[in-house]
Amino acid sequence: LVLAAAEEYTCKAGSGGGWACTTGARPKQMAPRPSDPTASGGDGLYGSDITQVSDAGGKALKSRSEDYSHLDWVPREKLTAAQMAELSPYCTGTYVEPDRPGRFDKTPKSEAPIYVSAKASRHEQDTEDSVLAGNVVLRQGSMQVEADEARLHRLENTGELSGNVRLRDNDTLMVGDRAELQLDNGEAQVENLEYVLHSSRTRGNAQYAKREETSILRLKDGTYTSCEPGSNEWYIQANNIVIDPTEGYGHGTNVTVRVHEIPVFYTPYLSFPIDDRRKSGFLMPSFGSSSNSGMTLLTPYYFNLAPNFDATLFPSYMAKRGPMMEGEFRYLTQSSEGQVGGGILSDKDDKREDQSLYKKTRWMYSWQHRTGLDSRWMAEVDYTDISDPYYFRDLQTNLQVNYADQLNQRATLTYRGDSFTARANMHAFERATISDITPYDRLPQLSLNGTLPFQPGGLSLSYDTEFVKFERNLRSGDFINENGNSQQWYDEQLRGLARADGDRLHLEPSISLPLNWTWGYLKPTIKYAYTSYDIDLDKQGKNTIWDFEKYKKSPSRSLPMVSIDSGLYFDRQTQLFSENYRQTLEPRLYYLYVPKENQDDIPIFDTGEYTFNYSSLWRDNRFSGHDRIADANQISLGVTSRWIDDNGLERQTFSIGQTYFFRDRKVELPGIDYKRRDRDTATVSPVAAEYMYRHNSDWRFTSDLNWDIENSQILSSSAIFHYQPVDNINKIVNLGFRYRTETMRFNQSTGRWEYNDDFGEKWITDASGNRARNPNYIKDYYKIEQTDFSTIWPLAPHWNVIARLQYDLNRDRVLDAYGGFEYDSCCWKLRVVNRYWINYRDYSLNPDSNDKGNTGIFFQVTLKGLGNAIGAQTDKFLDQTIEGYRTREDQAR
Amino acid sequence: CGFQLRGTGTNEFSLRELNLEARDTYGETLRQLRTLLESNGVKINPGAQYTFNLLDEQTSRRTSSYTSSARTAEYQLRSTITYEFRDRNGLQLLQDSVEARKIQSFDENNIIGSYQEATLLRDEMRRELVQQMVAHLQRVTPEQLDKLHQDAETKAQAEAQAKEAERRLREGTPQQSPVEPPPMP
Repeated sequence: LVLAAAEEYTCKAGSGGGWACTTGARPKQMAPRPSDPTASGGDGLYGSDITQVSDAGGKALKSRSEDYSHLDWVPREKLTAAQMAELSPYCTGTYVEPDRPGRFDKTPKSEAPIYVSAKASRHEQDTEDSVLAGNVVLRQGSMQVEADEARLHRLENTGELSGNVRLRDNDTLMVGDRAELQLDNGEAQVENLEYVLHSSRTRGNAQYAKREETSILRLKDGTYTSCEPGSNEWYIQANNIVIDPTEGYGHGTNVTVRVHEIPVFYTPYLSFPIDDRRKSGFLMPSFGSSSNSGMTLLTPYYFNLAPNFDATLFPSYMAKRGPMMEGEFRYLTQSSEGQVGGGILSDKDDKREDQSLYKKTRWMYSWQHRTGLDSRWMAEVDYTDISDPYYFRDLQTNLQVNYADQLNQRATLTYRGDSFTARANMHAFERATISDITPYDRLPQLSLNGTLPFQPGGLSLSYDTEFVKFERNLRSGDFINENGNSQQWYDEQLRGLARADGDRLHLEPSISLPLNWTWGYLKPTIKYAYTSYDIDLDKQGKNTIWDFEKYKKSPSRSLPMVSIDSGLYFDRQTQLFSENYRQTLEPRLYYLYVPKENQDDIPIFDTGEYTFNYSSLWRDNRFSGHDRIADANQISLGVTSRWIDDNGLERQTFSIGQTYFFRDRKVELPGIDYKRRDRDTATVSPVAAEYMYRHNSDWRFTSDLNWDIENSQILSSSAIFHYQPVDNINKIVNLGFRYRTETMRFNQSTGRWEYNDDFGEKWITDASGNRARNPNYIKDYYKIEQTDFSTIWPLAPHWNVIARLQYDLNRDRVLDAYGGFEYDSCCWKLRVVNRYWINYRDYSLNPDSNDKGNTGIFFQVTLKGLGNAIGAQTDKFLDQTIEGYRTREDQAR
Repeated sequence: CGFQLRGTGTNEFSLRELNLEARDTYGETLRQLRTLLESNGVKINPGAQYTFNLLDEQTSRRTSSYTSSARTAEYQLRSTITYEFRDRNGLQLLQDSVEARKIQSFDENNIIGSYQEATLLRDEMRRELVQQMVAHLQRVTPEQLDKLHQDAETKAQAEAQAKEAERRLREGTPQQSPVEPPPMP
């Protein structure tokens, strides 16, 4: 064996077609890199005592380099600012792929020439073998292999490498003891190796690995983790692991998830993403336990159908209920977006068996769709149907369905003209609760609203027109509860006009003269509102008409409405906390006159009374919908002051105002007597005030107060504080207070409109005719006085506390309380939250006996790089209850 | 106390011309914004040097208080609009967002009445958001945009140059030798 002198050759294609070689000229150093891995990972360290990677227990091998530089590891302090910015605060470094010749070469391996350099080499003429030694570097296309020694067989096009083998291709590095190489296509087999996927920040090891032509890695007895090289906080171990960097996913068979070498979870098959790309395959399974469904296992499967289509199946098993299947399909195109989903379950749980409307087979389906964002025609669908009203009370869904007490079944077609909007809407509801009155469907609702495009003499001519057909199927007979006891449906108890169906035509042309100046505006408006009805009332309704209402087949109402809206703008430059602001002062005056018309023959279809606040001073109707037009002869006065910073952002806003009445408000919802309601006979309204302060984007305080001066009574008030500093969104504090009294609502148990805060009558007449205290009476039952505090706050490095307390001061009870902690490290995250909360179960018609306290402990483990392992539902309730949580999660690294 | 009627001071719009865009091309927000800007003397012109683009309109709601039977009594409604200024080459000059919140009371026995109230509140919130955006636009001067435009161009050029330099460096780096037995010493 003859070795050549220890020299290095660098050759270039010469001008004459041959090779021009120079000795000793090192390739020029390329893009800067903090540390040179070849320097410390070079000769000497690798001796005769080979450490097997399987002995390292999930950690990287220290014997290959003390500081893991053999894995391209660069500690935090040597990173550039840009690299640091992408790093999670608890990570001590990252893998940085060094630059090298050919790194971005896209030539296929079969066409790319092989470049070789070594300290010494020998060529055996007879076998056409080359033997290379000392810093051997082979390069073909984007692949580069380094080793201490190499033997290349030219006839077979193969090579054998040994000693500190480092094989790299784009975004991949494999470090092993020995390797075999197929020179024409880049196939390689490496033994006793460690590997790194730079951009996904993951690594692992294997007894041996095969790298295919397509750059897929097949590991035998391998591991995979996103933990740092010196850590084995968690890793997965599997008989076989396949990693496909071009598709962006990996999967393993006979997989054990280990935490500090202790096995915690086994699965025969596991698929996991290795980058942000969406990929078909099983998502991380999740476990949970609830008193309602028992232990639950969910194993979602994701289908990546196209860049703009995907689907997910959610097979799950609930110990108390049996297997359940849910599925969802989502789509997104230039002009449309939407999703279709559904779920089905044959329910083993029979707690509700004797209850009305119980179904053993429970199903749900839903379609949300929107199309025509870029066109004048826009179509929307929001349709959900369920097997029984208890579906969402008993079952949780993994789908993105909007569910509430009533489910939307809506289709809307809108034409958006330049000066008008035409809309056809079909809106029905599916009942998702049993203790409410059935809502009206609007089948159809047609509307045309707009302004004439020309303005004769500066006059603006507008029109609002609407036709609606209100109908509903009232329940009849009795509701049977779970114990077999019956009670009349609330629908059955409805009396009089409240049972009506009907058509309504509403026409509202208006003329206004908007006068705008830079310093103010004046806008007188005359409206004419004409409404006609065609009412159907069933026999039961006709027989039970209240004394405060009248039934007419075709009532109509026509009312003129006059208003004058005016305002001025004042500005000044001012300072606040030594910053410059433009402060505005915007006084506003609004006069409204509407004559009084008796509307006792009109039922209530889509109308309610707005809660009083600053905005309601400027509305021309106290009622929503068109079934009541409030009489008015009043002036509202208000003033708003804004502090606007140099960027044009409102930093502080304060508004205060009041309405002065020239007569009593006699138009009311059915059954309300204005004479007995102080608010409608007073000469002034409560004072309405609003305040907002925003400190940069770090914290915000909003508050409002509606105060009845005459009676020294607060009608409603709120105060909300939100803190989440921009440069550390990890920190969140929310504080809220809400108070409200005397809100108008429809009481389903009496079938009447009420604003009284108490539950039931205080005094009743007992069987013997004596007045007695009502034992069911609850004072201030409908009053709201609640505080809400929630926080996520760092206690120590890695540790955050998560807590919330929502307290009902009015009834002296906790509505929702939880406390727990979050441990966040570079490669995993753990949350443990203990929660007590009250939720609503539909077991009875009595709303007061349907709320129930629950307790639960929620675990959530996130193995970074593998997705949510356990407890995705924790994420859901944290999102719903802590403002700012979603922002925090979205930006978490 | 220092207050002046607006227009008698120096609070005029300094932007005279602007292009408006939004994903929801015929949406109500864009229509109101256009009307309000036009009434303030700003010319809306697709050929204008700078574009004001409504990137994203989001609405959400969250339960703000509960009834005595632990059902939703009030919702907090929230609307946000994210917008950007762009130059003719599509380079983003600045991005910002505005937000409005309101409390809606919810009556589970009068669903469409509550629905109507929510619709009205959303309309009022949209008007508020449009007002806030106009207040921002009022403070933006063409000079400021010109400067941002130049900065963006300079940055884009610098990035292109850096890329080009990297490419040239890579191409100029000598390759190693092809498999060839080195000459015997």
